[in-house]
Amino acid sequence: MKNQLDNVNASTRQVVRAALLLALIVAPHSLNIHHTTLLAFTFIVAWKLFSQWHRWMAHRWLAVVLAIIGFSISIWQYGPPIGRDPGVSFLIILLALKMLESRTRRDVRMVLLLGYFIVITHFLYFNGLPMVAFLFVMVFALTWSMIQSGHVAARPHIKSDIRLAAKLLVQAIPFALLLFFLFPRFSGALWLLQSRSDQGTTGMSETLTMGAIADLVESDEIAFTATFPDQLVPPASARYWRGAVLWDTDGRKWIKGPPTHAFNQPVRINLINTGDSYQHEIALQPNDKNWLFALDIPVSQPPGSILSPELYLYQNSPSRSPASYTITSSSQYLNKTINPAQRRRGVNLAPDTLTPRLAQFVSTQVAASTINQKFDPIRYALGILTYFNQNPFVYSLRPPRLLSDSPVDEFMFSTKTGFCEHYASSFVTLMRAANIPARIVLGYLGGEHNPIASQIVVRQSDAHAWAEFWSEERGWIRADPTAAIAPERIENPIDYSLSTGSAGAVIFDSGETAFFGKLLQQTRWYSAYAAQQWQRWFVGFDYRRQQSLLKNIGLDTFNPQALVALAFLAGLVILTGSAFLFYRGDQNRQDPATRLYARYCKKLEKQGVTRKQAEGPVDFYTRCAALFPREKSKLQTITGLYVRLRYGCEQDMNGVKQLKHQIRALRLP
Amino acid sequence: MHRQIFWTTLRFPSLQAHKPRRRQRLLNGRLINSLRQSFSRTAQVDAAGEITITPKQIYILPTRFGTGFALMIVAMLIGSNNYGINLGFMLTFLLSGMGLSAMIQTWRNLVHLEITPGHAEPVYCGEMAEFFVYVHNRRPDNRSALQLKVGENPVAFDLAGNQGLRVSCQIHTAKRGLLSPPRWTVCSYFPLGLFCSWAYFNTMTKCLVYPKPAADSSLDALFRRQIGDDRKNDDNLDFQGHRKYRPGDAPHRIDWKALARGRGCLVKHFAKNGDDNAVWLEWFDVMADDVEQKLSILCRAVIELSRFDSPFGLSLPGTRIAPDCGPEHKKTCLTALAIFK
Repeated sequence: MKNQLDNVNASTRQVVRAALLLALIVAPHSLNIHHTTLLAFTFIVAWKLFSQWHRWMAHRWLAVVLAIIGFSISIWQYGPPIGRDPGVSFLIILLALKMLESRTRRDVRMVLLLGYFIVITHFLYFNGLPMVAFLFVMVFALTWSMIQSGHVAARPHIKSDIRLAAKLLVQAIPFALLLFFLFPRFSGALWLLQSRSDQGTTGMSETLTMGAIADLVESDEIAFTATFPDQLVPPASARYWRGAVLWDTDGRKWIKGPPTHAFNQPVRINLINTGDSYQHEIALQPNDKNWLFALDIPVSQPPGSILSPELYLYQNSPSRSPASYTITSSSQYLNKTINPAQRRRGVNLAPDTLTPRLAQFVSTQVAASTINQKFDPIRYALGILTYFNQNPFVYSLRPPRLLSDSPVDEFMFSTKTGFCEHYASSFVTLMRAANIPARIVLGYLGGEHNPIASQIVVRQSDAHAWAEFWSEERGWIRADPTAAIAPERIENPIDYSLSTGSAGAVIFDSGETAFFGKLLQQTRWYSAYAAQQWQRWFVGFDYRRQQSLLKNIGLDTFNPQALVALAFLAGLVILTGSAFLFYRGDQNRQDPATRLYARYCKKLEKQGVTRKQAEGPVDFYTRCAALFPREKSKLQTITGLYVRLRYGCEQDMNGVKQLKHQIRALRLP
Repeated sequence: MHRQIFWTTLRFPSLQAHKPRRRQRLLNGRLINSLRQSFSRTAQVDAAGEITITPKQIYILPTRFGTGFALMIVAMLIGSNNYGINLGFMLTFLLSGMGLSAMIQTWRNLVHLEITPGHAEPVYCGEMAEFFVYVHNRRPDNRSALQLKVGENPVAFDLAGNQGLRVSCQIHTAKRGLLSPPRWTVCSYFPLGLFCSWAYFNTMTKCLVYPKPAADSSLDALFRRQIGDDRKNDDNLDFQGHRKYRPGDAPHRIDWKALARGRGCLVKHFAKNGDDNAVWLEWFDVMADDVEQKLSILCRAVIELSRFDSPFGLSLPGTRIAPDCGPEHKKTCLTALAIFK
């Protein structure tokens, strides 16, 4: 059967509305897609609006020419439409052209359908709450326009359709939520895709080069948030978030090097927990790296992750989408996990690193920490940290470049200016020079504590590097040489004093504005909490989170197919259930005339006259009129009104009022 | 369709071979009729003369647009999975949920819709027969963009809450006689056009289709011998007396002298020479070979004679209608022509 309304010409109002709506939906892409594409889109849409206004119909050849121009713009900028940006650009051009040639209502509806597709492409770039709210409104508007184009009239009633669109969407929400949580997430793509590295995700580098300028430190983007469900938050001094461990160096650059442990052998971990352990959940932003951050030393392992022999976590594939995982960490421990490869590589130095004055410095320090012929590595390390503290070492984010063959020598004795990378690598070099196994740890330090959400927000500007050295008695010991510099020498206002405050917060200190300051901080915390919950339950709801959720509700034994079937069936039940809840009202809500007539019948029933099952209103009247001759005219009016309202064609609210009045006024003896 | 299935299932060999009469009786029995009623998904007129679309009678299928929508959802699902966008999953499921609730809405547009068959005015063959139905919405919420179809021309209309509407559908007529319309279809694509729900119903209304009137010129075949053109050849007729003027009388028939004398507006009444003063339209006088053509010519004659309001009688094989005039008489004659076998 064909829908006869499909081929009706769309009204100018419908076309203009669709065009403006789609332009609004495409607008946020101006942040991601090349402007030429958007210019082409705007031009074509404006052309369409102009021609619609003047009732021109675009010639076929014009559409063809514009199609060729549009697609060549897209291909010229991005190449073939494979991948994210080229695909979106192609889609935008396609949408514009479909809009150009749309004439009938069916065409308008096709354009609106493409609009839904444009909405989904925004999630490739944005996942914040405000954007989602905007897109939800857009989905609502698309649905509403689609309903409007399905009417017989060219200018249908607006309000009732808004209500209907809201009804459709609200009914769909429980269904969508159920499927969202139960639809199986796979840990990988169904087929190989071009990597999203063209996006340029910010994140920490996996190598460390002394003297390279760090721009990362200035980025205020969130790296991850850690939520502590037990309200047990580690003290500021313990917030070291471990990321990766670097072993090998050429004197200037530090890299991870080959793994220190064969893959197929289990890591023998020798770890004694001596203090609190913290259970926390990390919501990780995509960083295109394999690492999974955790507070200090993880003692539990989220599914799908690998624990390295250096006791940091990583995964096999780089994280390209937000993820979250739960983990337990220890911040006070004896970590004696070491193997021969680590002992060997932990003392390696590049040949030219040890200049004569550096060797001189090391031997002085070694001599100072040798007591009773026994060399004490811990005393040696403390000696170096004291040296950093008592000499004019400066913390600066813009240190001078180190150009000599031994950057450590240059840093230690000439520039004395640098940031964590300089201090950590110099410290490790000095440890290794004294034959103590040492390594660099990359990660984050600190983070902003939000007491309302019981969470710590760690930003890219919190990136840090520190050192670990080996002592036979106490295992691996963390040493943070950056923290050893005298606080007055910290040049930049970036907070490294391990406090909970963070850069960028507005501080009100006068008494009058303290209230607003508090309010501002509260608002910031609450919005951070909302963002974190959003991230946790929606943006970062991945395979791991789903598994833990399924375990909690006891569905983890289901295989994916069964889960899909279950989710779909349950969703259908919920959908029909909510539909019936919505419509149950109008089953009860009878025609007002019928309801009033029932009241009338009840009145007569009290007098002992009952209307029979199949008795028509007129027959009933005749019977009643014989019984109550005095009220005959009133009964007649009521019956007449009822028959007119019930069986007539027009809806007559006045008549209903009159009937109501008449029935109320009816007094039977 | 359903009826056919029903018949084949009942065609048991034993019944056919041995007891054909019993089978016949069974098929016409009350039980079978009620069974057939319950199997058939076509809504029928109930005892009160109304048709109510019940849930069981509604068919629903996705449209082409709906299939496109489903394909888009599949594409969104694959894309969300491949790019690992959770919010993409959310939108995908939201849209599919919306599609499904639109399906329920499309179904609801038809369920418990009440239809009261109206009458159909007789038409001449070749004209469009117009069938009326009264469609009632007994619910307080709207039923929008309903489409009603019988024959070729569909009609679309909106039905507000608690409202009734008179809707007419036109059917092309090709044959004289009693035209019963084919099965009616009421369908809805509202609100999103993703699904089409439809239901069939039968009205018992029949439209009387008169024969197609022959062209004026072919009247010669009949009138040459009978009455000719009485406007020109009044001489051949005898003056019968006066009667009162009725609207439609030819001006030249008015007795202007009588009018001038103040006797009122009278019309000279003529009739054919002979014993009878009325025209007899005789089947066997019509000079045509084909039955339908004869009926056409007679139909034209009835129309013309009624126009001049001269009394006439109609004689068909098996039917004889006494001379008279007036619209009732015309209708009787035309009906006789329409149902002539």
